Amino acid sequence: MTALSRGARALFLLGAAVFFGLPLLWLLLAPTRTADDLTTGSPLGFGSLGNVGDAWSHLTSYNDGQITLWIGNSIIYAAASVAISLLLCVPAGYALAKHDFAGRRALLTLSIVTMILPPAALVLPLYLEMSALDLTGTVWSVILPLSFYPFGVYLAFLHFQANLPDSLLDAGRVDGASELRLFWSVAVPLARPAIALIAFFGFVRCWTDFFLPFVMLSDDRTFTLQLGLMSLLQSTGAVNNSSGFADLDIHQPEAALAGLVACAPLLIGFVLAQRFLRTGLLAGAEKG
Amino acid sequence: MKTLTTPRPPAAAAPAPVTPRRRRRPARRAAVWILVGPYTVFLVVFGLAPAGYALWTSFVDNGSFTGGHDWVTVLEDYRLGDAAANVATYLLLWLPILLLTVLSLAFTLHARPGRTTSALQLVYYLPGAVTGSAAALLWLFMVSPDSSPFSPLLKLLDVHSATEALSGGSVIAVLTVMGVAVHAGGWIVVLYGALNALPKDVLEAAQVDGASAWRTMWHIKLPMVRTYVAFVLISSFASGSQVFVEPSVLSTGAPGQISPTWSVNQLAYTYATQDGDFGKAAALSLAMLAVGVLAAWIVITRTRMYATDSSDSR
Amino acid sequence: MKRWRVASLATTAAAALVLSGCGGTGGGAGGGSGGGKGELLVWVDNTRMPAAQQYKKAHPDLKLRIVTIPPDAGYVPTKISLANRTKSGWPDVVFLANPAEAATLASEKFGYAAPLDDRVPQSVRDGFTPGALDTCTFGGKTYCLRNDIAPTVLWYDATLMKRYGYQVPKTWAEYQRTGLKAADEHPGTIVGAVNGKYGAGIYFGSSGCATRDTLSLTEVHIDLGQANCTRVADLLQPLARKKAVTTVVPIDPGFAKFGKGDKILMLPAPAWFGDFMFGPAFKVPGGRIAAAPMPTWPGESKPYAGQVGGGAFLVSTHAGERTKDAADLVRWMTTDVSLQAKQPTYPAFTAAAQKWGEAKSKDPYYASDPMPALIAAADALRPGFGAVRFEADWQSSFNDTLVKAVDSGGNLRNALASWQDKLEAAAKTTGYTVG
Repeated sequence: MTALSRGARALFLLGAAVFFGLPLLWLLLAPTRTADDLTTGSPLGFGSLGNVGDAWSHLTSYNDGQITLWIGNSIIYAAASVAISLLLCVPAGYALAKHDFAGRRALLTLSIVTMILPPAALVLPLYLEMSALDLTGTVWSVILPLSFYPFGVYLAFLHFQANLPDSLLDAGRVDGASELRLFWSVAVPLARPAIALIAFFGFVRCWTDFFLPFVMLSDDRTFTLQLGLMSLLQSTGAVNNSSGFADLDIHQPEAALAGLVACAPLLIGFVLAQRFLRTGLLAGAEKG
Repeated sequence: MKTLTTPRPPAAAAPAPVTPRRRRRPARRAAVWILVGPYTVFLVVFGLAPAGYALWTSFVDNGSFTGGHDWVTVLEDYRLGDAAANVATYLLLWLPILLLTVLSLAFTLHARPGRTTSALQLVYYLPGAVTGSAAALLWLFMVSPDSSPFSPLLKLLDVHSATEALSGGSVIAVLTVMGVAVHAGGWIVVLYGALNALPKDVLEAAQVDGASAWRTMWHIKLPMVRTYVAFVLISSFASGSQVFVEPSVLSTGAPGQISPTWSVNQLAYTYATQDGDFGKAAALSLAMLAVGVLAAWIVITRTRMYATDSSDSR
Repeated sequence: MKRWRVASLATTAAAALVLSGCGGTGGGAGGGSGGGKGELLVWVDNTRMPAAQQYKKAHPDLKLRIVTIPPDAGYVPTKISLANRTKSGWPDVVFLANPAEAATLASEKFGYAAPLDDRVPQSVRDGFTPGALDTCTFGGKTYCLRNDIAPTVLWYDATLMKRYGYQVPKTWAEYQRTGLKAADEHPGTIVGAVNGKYGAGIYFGSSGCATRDTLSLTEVHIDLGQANCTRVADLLQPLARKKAVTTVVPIDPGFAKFGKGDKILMLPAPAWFGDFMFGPAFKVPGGRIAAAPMPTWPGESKPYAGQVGGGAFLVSTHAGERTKDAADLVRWMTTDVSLQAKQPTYPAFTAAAQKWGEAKSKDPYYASDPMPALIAAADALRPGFGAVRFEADWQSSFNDTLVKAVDSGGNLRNALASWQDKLEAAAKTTGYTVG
């Protein structure tokens, strides 16, 4: 590679980094600044760390610190959904990859179709269904639909198909192991990276999902963090001054801090999962 | 036939044929259904049932058959034309730019992987992590020439205020930029992962042959990851045609600027929630679902993207 | 093997749960109307929360469940629409941060808002600012009580007026002359903002232009060909050409540029701009802003005010035996003088507004007491500005036609015709016949 092309490459990557990075840099700096400074100061100015602490205490002044309740709710919803979806996805992906059975092809095709369908399209019918089961407003109305995660099944399917040699299973069969035992003690241990990936993608989905809890939940005590933040920021006029007149000191810096709190788990998860992500969705076990 | 050992396509519609070597025995069949049964139940209850219910709702109201009346009134709604035009324009702009951004960044990153690679991937992923009201605040400020870090660029484009950026024809430009920023990062990671999983010997052979970096990319790497590219394309088309979050986020930051029925999906949502008409909402949602499925179908069947590279090459 | 069984059992249990529909635990307002178990379910925004809690404390016998809702446009109709579909989960009392939604909630399709004529005595309703309940009234029935109103006044910068040697205009003709003069002598100065509800509600609303004159829940009068519409176009046309009115929406963060740069000479705007916009958003320093009544239109002696904002309470038709309690709560929330005197925006109840104004008069932020102008504005709400189901389209169609013309230097009278078309289409789609 010539020095010229190397330079061009670095320039391109850095330029893109500026484009993608600047918004978050702004968001990161915003809580250190005052609302006045945000609109009139220099775009990437730094205020003081003390302002961040103030901003947080302002945020917790809303409904007696309800924001911490919402964080807890979000963790419960996400943890339960991810756990159930793993229990569903991994065995199903394994069976689809390693067994032939009637309906296999239909199951796989339907999974792919539902995977491509944007979730927003099914939310309203899901609401009616949940209502028929008398579950709207409960934690289940959010957890159960989110536990259905066809993308996870597909990832597991691809992983087992590519990385679990039949010979290994056949050897186990010769030893007299039952099919379920083979899954649990041969397939699952080999699939750890894939399971971690499915968990990460599933977590991102559950944590950021807005539409489903928005439709299902009506009581602010059951809100997720995303939903609660909308309520908090709109009623205090933090995003736009005309939306609410609550007598709380919640303005743009507080809104930015709230946004950072909401996206922090994703970024931490991303860094943790990068180990697996880097080697591809299929964890590249073929070469390992 | 080295290419056969590359990772399997992430969206192979036609499942790889399973060789008949597996005998079906009752015990094994029971085991299979224990493994796959719970998921199947969820698939039916949370995937198929809602879709079926939507179809039912679009034809039946309060137990009486409306005979497609909902479908007709939806098609006659004056808002549908505008919304469809908006979504089409958005797709025309956003999809190519997104694909180009994802491809160029993933390939450039992969041309010389280094220590900064994962850090850069994280940076590219950042905008996608900011959601909801915080995103409304973020993007409102990003398009405000007086307080945005991009103000030199905005001034160059002759944008004087956020109002201007969010009204008329420029809304679509803002949405495109926002859509690329939010969605590109995840796909870059996926594509980079796919590139990384390519067999090293093929790439090394190309280098020995003296192929330029450009030629290697165009003639060797790209064909090998084409399935991933197609997957990015289908998924993005599906999500882009259903665009809902971005315009509604922008309008919470600046109410009254962007029509609440800007996109087709927003219109469907408006039917259900503001007009109280679930039949029309269901009809329009289903029509949009059909568009997504049809597009996927065309890409899957008409291109030979998913001509299966046998899964039994081990 | 055992571990496997546990895992599988958990999955099948979860699936069985779905199928059988049991396990409906957890907090929630599902099932039947109201909060269930005879609870009175009340939805208010965060600003109204302390008041609702105060009511709860004062009525220890009443089972009351208070839920905070976001003040987002469309939130309440969304939730009520879903509740209607499943015939459960309706709140008994709800606060509307966007009172136009009353038109949706009272409509036959929603059937949610209960008429309050028999529940709230005439004497109480008469205590509201004249015309304040118009947005709650359809076909002669009152479906909601206004919490606060947002009459427009002519806000101006007293310091700039003095510095430039101008007089505060009393008529719209004077307003136009002053605006043009200011644009000539002090380039960049603005005397108004024309965008969305801020343009349509302030100028067209105060002129009495029939953009949303609701005759009933199913009939609306829209006629932009009348003189009270064309005179607004004629007023704005030269001001737009000279850029004396801006099309930047006041909630744009960039509007602070005008405030910071001493460019806001006048701004006809709702009452709440005084406390919530000039200082916090536009960064205009204290001691400068003052309020005057809106300018008068030709041939009129009264300075009619438009409206942008305000809130309302309504009671559910599904409240059943809780209706009496619900109505009592709504009456108290909107008319209790000491409670209303403390709320952030201009109370709709006349007696409360006076008390509310006592503090406002002494507010050092203002160059002079804004209350006389605010009271005058509240007493002169222009009739014919009703709650409509096409509120969002009313705003966006205004931007697509009039604002676009202002931006591009087009003819505003011509733009009125296309606004008329869009308004009619929006009205018909939402179930109105246009008269």
